[in-house]
Amino acid sequence: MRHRPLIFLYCLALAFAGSAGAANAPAADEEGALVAVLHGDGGVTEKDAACVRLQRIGTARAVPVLQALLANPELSHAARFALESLPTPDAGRALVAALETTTGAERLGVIGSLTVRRETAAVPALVRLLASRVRSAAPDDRALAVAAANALGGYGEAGALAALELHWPAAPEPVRGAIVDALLRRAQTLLDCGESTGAVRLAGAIARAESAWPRRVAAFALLLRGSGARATELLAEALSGPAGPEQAAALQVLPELGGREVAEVLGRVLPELPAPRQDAVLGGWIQRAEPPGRAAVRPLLESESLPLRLTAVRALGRSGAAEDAERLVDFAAEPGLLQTAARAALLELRAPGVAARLRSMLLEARVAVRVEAARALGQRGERDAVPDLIALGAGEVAEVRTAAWRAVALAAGEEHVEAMLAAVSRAVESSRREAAGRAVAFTFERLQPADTSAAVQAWVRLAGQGAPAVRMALLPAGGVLAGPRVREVLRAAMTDTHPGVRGAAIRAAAGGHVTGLLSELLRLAIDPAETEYEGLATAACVRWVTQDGRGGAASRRLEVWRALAAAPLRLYQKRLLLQGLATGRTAEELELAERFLADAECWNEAVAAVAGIAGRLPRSVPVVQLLQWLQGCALDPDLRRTVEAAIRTQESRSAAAG
Amino acid sequence: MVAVPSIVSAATLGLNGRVPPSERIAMGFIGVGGQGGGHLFGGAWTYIAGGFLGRADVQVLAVCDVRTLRREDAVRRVNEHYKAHTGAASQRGCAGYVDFRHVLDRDDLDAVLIATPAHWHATMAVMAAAAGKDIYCEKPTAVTIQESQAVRAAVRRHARVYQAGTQQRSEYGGKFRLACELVRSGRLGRLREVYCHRDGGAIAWPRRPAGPGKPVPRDLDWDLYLGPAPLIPYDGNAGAHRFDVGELNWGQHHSDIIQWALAADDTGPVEAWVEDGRSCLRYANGAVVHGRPHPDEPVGNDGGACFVGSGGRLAVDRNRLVADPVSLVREPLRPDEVHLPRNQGHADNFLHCVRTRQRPICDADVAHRSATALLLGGVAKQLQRRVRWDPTAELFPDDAEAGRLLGIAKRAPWRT
Repeated sequence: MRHRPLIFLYCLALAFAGSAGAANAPAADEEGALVAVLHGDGGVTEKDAACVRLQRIGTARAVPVLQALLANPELSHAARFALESLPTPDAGRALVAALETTTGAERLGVIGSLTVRRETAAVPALVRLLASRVRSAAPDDRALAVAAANALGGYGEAGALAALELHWPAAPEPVRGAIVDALLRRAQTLLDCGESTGAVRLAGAIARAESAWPRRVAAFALLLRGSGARATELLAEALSGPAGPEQAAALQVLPELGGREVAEVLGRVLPELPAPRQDAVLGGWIQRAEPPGRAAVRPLLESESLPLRLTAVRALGRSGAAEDAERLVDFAAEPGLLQTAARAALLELRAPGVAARLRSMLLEARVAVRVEAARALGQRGERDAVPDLIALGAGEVAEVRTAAWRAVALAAGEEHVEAMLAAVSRAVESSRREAAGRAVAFTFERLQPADTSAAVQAWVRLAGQGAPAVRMALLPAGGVLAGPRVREVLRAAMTDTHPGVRGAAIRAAAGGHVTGLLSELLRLAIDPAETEYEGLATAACVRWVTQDGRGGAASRRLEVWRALAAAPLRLYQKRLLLQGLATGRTAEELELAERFLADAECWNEAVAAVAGIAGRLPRSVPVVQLLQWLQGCALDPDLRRTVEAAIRTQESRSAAAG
Repeated sequence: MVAVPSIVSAATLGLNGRVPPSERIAMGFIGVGGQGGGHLFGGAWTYIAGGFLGRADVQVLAVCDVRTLRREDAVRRVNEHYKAHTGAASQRGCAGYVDFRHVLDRDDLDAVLIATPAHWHATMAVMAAAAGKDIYCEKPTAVTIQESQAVRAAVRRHARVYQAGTQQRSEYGGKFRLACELVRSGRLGRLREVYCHRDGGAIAWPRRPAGPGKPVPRDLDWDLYLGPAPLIPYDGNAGAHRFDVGELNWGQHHSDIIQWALAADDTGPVEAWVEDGRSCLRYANGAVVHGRPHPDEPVGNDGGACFVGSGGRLAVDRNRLVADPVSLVREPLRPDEVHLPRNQGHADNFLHCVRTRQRPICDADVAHRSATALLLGGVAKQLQRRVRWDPTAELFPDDAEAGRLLGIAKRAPWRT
């Protein structure tokens, strides 16, 4: 009993193993103390904990006492927990010896541990065990026979294999199943060791003797893996033959069989197969290191089977040539599953000349074809096609124009920006101007050109001094850039006399990346006359100083809050402000939020903001009383939970501080 | 005679989506709690609209759970569904089982979905493979590296189709795939660090409590719930993750995506250690995976990660894909970049592979490696020190202490 405190210490340490590094380093003669616990008259709980610890630190010294527990129904598992992992031969010997001294579940457990350790010395005893139980109808005997067979499958000893083969033919189920599993394991091990002859012999025997489909599949799979050059022939036979385990195994193994010969076989048999099997074979072929050639794939594109066409389209993406682009665009032009697959394939097609083929399709009569060709060129980033796409963007069909500008946005380089801007200038309808303007904006966002680049300079000229309609189309692009020239253009436009220009600039400044316009946005937010933009500007101010983390120093943040709080805000503006304040972490922000507790319109938001800030404040700021008052007032359950969480946080801080 | 999932599809037969019974994949569901029930019936949180039950190409024939009420309720719902949709007379009924071995004994089942408590997953997967079933297995796919190796070996040995429930490779609008494609295509330059919101995990059998414990509820088979775990008195906790240590539950989602992004599906980390209480991994290419969020990046918590390279950083989770600079993700994936396999959904990918015998996107090899990455972190956390790992030999070189944590003894008769 004198070891009890020590054991409790171990338990505690192990329970917090993640953080208790000290538990890993054995104390002086810790093992001796644990062994003493196991020898002693303590309870199962203590002995169990001692075994757990011995798994980590035990040596040969602990083996005898652990061995003695193997026959104990209450502690056998705990003893194995240690013995199974101990890196000493003594542990293995103890488990082998226990085969003779244990019964029932304890013996099954010992066999399980021997299987893990692969103790070769156990083979004779396991062989005897299998022989004595293999034909018994008693459930306990069958369980032992199954366990013995399972264990023997892990041994390379000739005796183990011989015993399995000897008892296999006459063994009843489930022992027979366990023996087959063990033989398959042995065959796989032989194969992994390069002894394919033995593996193939075993696999062949199983395939001949077993009638159950899954066992035959497993055997044929092994046969194929181990048959070397002959595998090609077997593969061809299986794939061309009737549905059966051979075929299932062939399909399963197909991706892993290497060699040009296999590809030749697949190319040969594929055209002769029914469509569903073609689909399965082609799908497996795609998973091989070398994908199917286009000669094998192209005919399948015309199949009546949709799944097969889908697989063929996927395959063509990996191995197609330039001329296949047309067929893929045809598929992409029809809505449905094929469209998705064909679009993906068009992105993967790497053969030279694909871009030229796609560009030629931009002149096709069919609208859907032009749309898909433009889409593919854009997605592929085909820069050489951008001039053609810009020209297409000026065409008559709205669908094609949209696709063309989207493609331009994805493929254009900085060198194309001037032509895009020119297209904006030339456009006679607002929808066309806007489409081109959106492409400029996306291109800028994608490329992030330098403020001094020719592309940005061209934009500055046109967005700053162009006709109002052109400026309205181009100003949104300024919002995605962050340079000083762009900022100046936006700042000037925010006070432009043309309402459309002014609105475009404000929207760009409020929604974009450009920095340095917070003061302008704040002025808009607090000006009651700015009914159209005050909400947008308020949201932008809140976003700038909270989520984006770009609002500068805490003092600037507070300045914004104070300016907003002092203004005659509308309800939705107040709510935006309180959402922002709720992320605060200073007493000043708390004070601002508290002011809104007097405002019935936004009381809930004010409570949430106060609770949010209070939860983050240091203990030195006394807030618990305020929170408790709010807790009593809050009727909304979610709101009350928020307040309670803040109280808990503050209380735990107080407790931690002592 | 075992039912044979035909490789003939309904669409080929021109049945307008109706699938004759002989063409349906017959499935058994083992574990129908939150996760398994979601797979079976669908639901707001699950990614399978309508669940497997709602699919025309699946016939649910068996439901297994150690909780009687849950099991019986699921059986009733399955049978009512089929009765309402197809007429009871034309359907084989769905049966309930408390012991999953009876499900595996059924010759007329093609596949099982395992969504039990985590400590059961690998044991059941190995037994299901030996019984000739194809397997969809929830994560974690194994709770020790030894178990994980056994699952991989059994699936290969029995030529089974196996899909791990790490559905992020297939779902969520392709965000994870795109993130991995961008990382593998070198958009971030040289990949230096990965911030993984969840770190390593492990399993720990419970300490045996003193005393007789509480009475076992009448609707629970406590022994079968415990399975490979020690036979302890009932203590009121029959949760799915009661034996987990660390991030065993969610961690494999994260490690799976990191393995994919690092093109490490046939290898793994070479080192694991603990940093500020969280496990870290290092891969052979020098990339370090920190088991904690990036300090400046909120995206990644929901199954994702933040990848940091010499040219920027990219973060992904189930809801968002963001990059700094943003241009890293604005540029579409080009033909000369890495394109990873896509499918029409994780469950669909599994069922398609059951029919065609192809390899699912998260097959047993992939699952083994992502589980190993997760569990190596768990070993480092248990030892509170650095461990080296040989991903080829799959052992801790010259480290017998770490070697002790490769497996955990199971209660008889369970084994992998």
